[in-house]
Amino acid sequence: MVEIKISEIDRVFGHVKVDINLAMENIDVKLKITQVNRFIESIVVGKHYVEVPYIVARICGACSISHLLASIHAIEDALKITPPSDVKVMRRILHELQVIQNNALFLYLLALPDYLECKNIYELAKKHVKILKDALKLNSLCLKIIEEIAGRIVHPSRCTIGGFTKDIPIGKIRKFIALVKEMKKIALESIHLFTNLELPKFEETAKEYAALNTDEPYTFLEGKIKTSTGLEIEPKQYHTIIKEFSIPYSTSKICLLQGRPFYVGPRARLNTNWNKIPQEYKNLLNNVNIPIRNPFANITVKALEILYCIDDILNKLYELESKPHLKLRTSMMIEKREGEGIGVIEAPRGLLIHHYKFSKSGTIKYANIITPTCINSKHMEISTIDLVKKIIDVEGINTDIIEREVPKLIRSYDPCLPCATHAIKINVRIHR
Amino acid sequence: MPYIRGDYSLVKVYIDGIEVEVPPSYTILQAVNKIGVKIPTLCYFGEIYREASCRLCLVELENGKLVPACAYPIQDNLKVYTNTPRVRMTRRVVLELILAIHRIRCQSCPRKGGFCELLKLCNEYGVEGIPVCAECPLMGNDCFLTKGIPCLGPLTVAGCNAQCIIEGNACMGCRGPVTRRDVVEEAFKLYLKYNIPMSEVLSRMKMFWSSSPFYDHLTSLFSQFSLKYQGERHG
Repeated sequence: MVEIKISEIDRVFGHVKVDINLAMENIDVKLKITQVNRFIESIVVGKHYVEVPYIVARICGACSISHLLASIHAIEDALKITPPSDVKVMRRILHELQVIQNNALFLYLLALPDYLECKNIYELAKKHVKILKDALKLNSLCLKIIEEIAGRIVHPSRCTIGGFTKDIPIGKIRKFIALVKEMKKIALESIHLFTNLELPKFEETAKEYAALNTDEPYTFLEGKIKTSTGLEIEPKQYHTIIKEFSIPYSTSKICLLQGRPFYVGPRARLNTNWNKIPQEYKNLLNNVNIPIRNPFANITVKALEILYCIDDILNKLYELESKPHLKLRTSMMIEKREGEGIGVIEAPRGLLIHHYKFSKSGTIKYANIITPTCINSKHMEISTIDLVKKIIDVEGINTDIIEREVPKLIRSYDPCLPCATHAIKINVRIHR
Repeated sequence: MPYIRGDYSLVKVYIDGIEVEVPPSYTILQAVNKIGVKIPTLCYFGEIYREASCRLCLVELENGKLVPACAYPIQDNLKVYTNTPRVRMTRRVVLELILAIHRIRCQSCPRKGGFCELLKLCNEYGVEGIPVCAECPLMGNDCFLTKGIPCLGPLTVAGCNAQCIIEGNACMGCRGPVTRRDVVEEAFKLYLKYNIPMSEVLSRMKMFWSSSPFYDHLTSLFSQFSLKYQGERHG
């Protein structure tokens, strides 16, 4: 019996280790998330709903806008508030900027060193300075626009229930357009790096995906949950198919779709929306079979998303520019009302669900947050088993190769472990 | 002035009623130090610098005169009081005047003073942070209280340049509370004036202050004031 223990996977957000147990016939893989628990779901219980978006945004520093918007959507759903169209467009721009920034961070700094045979980004900086400079430039341009729209780079303060707390003058939109054009230039220069990568040939066995779905090619903030098995349900009914379970060896929970592991994230978005995606983006992916079953292909798909989001932001900004003025500001009246709301959005790493119930005085009595890494963790384990099996078939039991390839696979999922460990004790209720 | 060799005549002074014999060349401060009573000083630096410019070492004489101890010469039978209410009040005003030309940020120092003598004295004399409301209007903001939103500006230590209020959010009190009774009383009156229920203010305070040792102090102050201003609410 051979045991392989990878004590820490580097270049991911947070801490995770992998135990691989090679018994005679079945291979046992345990993805042990060792990130410390955060108890965010318990912290929000008893707080007024107005404060909740700002607290839950602290779950993650990388995708704080996703958590903020998901919780705002949930609260708006509970209070039956429909924000004005300008607000919706601005939120979409904000979120897509975050998708670009997150994807760029993952692609250039976390994933690319694997494929250019560098140990880390410092080595990458020595060998390919241009790439690193492009990455940082793209990142800083994104953050610049985010700061102008939302007030802060991390944990934005201007997004609130019903809209924004501050108006954005039309003059600034013109400034944004110039910045986004610069971003597009950089992205087009370096996107071929990712689309022409030689990815390891590998196919996963867990073949279920779930993503939001509307008429548009990509949707991040609205739509129905669509799965690859053909289910299409309203976000409100998420609990009928998605169930959370605790596991003893990890500080994170796992999620199953009707009892089976499933994948959410860039590949799921692409696979479920493939027919609607314009040809110009499809051309970027050469030599792939649809649906894409290779987890390593997340890299190319994320590169495609960057380009799509930049184009989409440009279109939306042109739309906004032609308007006389933007209606973003909301009056922050605090109402006391009972309610239950669910917000489902596509975070950069996949489906993110926020679910709150509040009492008559407006205080939260139930909070449930399902993050993409929670959902993917089971899928990651199964893919790791597949990968180890494949390596053993080809190379025999070679621990060196396993130790090299497994972190690469986990990393291609881009897990965000601070998000995953937002709670261990779920369904906190106060009985009064 | 240096001690002159051969001058053995000593004079008697009474500091807070304690009799001390010192050479006539001494200042009050030197006499006070001899018996171990502490007088706060900022500008005094031994023999090198004693311009009496900070005025923190003020003491009261028998005739009611306030004089700087570091520069005032000893006389025979001088009666000095170092810790009367008037002295303490004056020192506090002096500290506030010194802080008036400091930036607000100095007083909400994240290191809570550290080695800073000025901030230690502020702590001792109860000169505390100014609330956010003091600097918020300077930034040209609208008041949230007038709209009925429980902003914690009147209770929170200033120094952030009212960042959240500029961004359009009501203050959440992340910089910690001002615990001075008169400031809390003014804040209470403001909430009363704009009909903001205290329960909402208290629940908002929980977000950052619930683990603070001042939280209980504030709630007890609030309950005192609610008794005091009960008549006004009905009237």
